[in-house]
Amino acid sequence: MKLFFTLLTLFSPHFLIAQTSSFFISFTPTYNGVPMELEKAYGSDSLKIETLKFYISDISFFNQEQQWFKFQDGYQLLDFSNELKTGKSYGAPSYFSYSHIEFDLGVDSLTNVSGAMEGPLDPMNGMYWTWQSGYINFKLEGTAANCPTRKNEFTFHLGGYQAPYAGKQRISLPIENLPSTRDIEIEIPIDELFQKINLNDNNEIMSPCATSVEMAKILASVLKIKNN
Amino acid sequence: MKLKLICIIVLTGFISSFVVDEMVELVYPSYFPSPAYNFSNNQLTKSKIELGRALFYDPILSKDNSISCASCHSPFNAFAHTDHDLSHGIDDQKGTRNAPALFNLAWQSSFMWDGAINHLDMQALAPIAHPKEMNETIENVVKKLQTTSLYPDLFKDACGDSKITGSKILKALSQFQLTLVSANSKYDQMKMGEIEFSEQEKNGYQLFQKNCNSCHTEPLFSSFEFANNGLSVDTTLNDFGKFTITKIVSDSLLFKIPSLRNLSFSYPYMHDGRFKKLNDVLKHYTQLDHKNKLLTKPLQNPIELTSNEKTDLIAFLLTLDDQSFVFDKKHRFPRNILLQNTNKN
Repeated sequence: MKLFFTLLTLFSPHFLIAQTSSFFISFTPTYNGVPMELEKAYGSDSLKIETLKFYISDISFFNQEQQWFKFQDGYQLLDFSNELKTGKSYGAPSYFSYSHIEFDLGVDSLTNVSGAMEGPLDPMNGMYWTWQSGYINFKLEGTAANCPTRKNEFTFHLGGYQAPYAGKQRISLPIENLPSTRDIEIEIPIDELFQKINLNDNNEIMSPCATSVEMAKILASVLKIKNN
Repeated sequence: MKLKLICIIVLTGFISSFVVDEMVELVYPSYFPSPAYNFSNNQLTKSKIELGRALFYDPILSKDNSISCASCHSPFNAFAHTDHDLSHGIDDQKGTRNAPALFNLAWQSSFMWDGAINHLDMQALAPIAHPKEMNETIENVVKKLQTTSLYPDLFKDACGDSKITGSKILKALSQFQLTLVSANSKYDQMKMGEIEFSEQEKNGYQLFQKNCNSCHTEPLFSSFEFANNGLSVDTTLNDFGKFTITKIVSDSLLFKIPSLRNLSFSYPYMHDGRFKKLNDVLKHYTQLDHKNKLLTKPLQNPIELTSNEKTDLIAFLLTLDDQSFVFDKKHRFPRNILLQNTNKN
């Protein structure tokens, strides 16, 4: 009888819930590895970021090469307007571990042609072009002393869902040192991004184009796991 | 007895709180193709259509509350803007294109003269945000509507929640516009076997089928594709059509093919409203420069029409006028809603 109750407890929903714990996946813009504050000047070019917003979705976790788990929780719009880092908590069984993570940066083509949507995809979030259809996958606005524009402003609205200017990127990041909390902090090294673009030639992207796709690829290439 | 009465009152209240909005089915003739719009994501209901109608006619959508959708899309002009070659927006500014007529939108999957918009739901964002049209943001429209005494209740009735969102606004606007079905012209009555064409109209119909139908395809009178119809570039506008959006060279000077229904109500014609009369349009198509290699394929063979044939063709085109659509009270300014709004505010 004792064994029966023990087994009953083990397989009860309460027990299973107790075995589930949450972990946090966050994104942090950094300059030389230090978390950036919005509107604070960095480096010799006094680089300031005023807006940083982007969509992620379809987060998948892999252990070695095998997909462990996929969160199909739709799109998240990460908006750094009030905080240094932003992200989301995920709940998964405690034994759940992973060695690399994949996610989409941007909005897929089907969603782009499916009409008005609520929540993160509502056009009132300022991430939808108005003069033509399509979501802005990644929005980065700010100033830099070496930017040869009015008020030294740069504006990068990266989007596009149709070939040849489809801008969504699949990001794949290996995780070598998964902490016991299983939390993952993904760095957006803004200094490295700006080392790879020339603000003299490229300081304003506001529609899908070849430069937009090129910059989306550069962005994808600099993302990394912090303290990996 | 008292208990019975209380039970009835409670039950009535319970049932009324679960009364669902009246579903509306889009009605169209059997010879129309299936609509392109996916109604499963935005099921038509009476309250949502009425909400969309109120929004369509309400200038609150513009920055200074002066311009509504109906300012450039009047019901009496088949929802075009008669007599204006170019659209006319906020602060008396002129745009660069003719405001197109709005009807049978459920059968279309790209919008604007250059195809910039891929879904009816998202179309309204373009005029709302355009600095020469409404010069407003959808974010601010949401804020303004939420503070009125009228709209939170309308949204609650239509969507079950008084919280207004951009998506709800756009879908409600779609709902009203989807109901703008023009399918009761003389042509439609002929198709239904209710009337017969005159000899002149029959001759015009044959000429139409021979010369026009490949682009202005029956029964919607457009394939809704994009074509270069040989119009020279207006150098005051330098409008290159679809190329502006796609940046693909072969898309240069391609404009959306408009429907030929309701032409009597929706002049002037072409993307820049350059022709005021149907005779001007026929003159253009019969005098095309056939050395122009960029002409859309169906126009590469010359269209030859005698003066009488032109008259017959126009007689047929006039059978596409749909007075019952243009004067349908269901599509007009919703006095019962918006004048109530004025009184409340």
